[in-house]
Amino acid sequence: MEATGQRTSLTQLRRGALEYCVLALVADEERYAVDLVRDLGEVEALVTSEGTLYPLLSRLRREGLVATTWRESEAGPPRRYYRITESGRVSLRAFAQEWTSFRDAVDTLITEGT
Amino acid sequence: MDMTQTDLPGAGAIDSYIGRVDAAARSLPPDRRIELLDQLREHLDAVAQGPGATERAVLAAIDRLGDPAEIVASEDDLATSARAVVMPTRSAWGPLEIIAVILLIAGSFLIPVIGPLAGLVCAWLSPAWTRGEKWVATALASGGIVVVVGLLVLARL
Repeated sequence: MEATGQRTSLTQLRRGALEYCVLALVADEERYAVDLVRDLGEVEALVTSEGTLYPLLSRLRREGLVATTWRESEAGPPRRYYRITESGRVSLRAFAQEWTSFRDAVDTLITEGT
Repeated sequence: MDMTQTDLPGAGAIDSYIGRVDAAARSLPPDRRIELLDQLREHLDAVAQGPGATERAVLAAIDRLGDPAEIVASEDDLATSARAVVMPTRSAWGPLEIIAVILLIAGSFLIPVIGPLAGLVCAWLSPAWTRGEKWVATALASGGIVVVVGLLVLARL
């Protein structure tokens, strides 16, 4: 029971932080969706299965935090690229500040408690 | 569509995986389902078209994408908040609501007391009305029932 609860809250934390990690990855340059998903998939602490990133990318696009562009590729069909929007940048900046104080507070309490 | 697609390594495995996601995604709105299937196919096609791609590489990529049910579940989670706003808060009228209204209006002519009472039971069982509306119906209908019962008692006297 306790282990299940812990897993659930970790999943929630991961889910909450993950979208900002995606925003951060497309903040400096536009990225090909497949490369983006593969790179994030390498970070095991964040992503359990790469496929779940696609619904997240779609939601970020619907919310206007990222924009997509289709680009022709040398071989094969056109490729979908993602980049951050101005509203995504505002959102990422706000999270980055909150995150620092959140992380510090949790670190302090957890260190004191163990 | 494109004949060269079937020559790619792991083409059969890709089709079968996309088919499994499609089946798992039946609960999603059509536009979301199509977008998800497009994204996953694009991902796997990119692996299959990569330099020196092998069937094994494609199978590994499918494995990393993960369980179709899990992917669809994450889409559902993300959609829940958005969909809650779009969904009507009350359901439309069905047979239960129509029977309730008929019994409440005409029930006392069919079977006095029992008729409108049955109408009230139907109304309370229905998800289409709020609690407040149900209490108003109850107050109005029980007024009628009190009158009928009163008349019956007076007639006996």
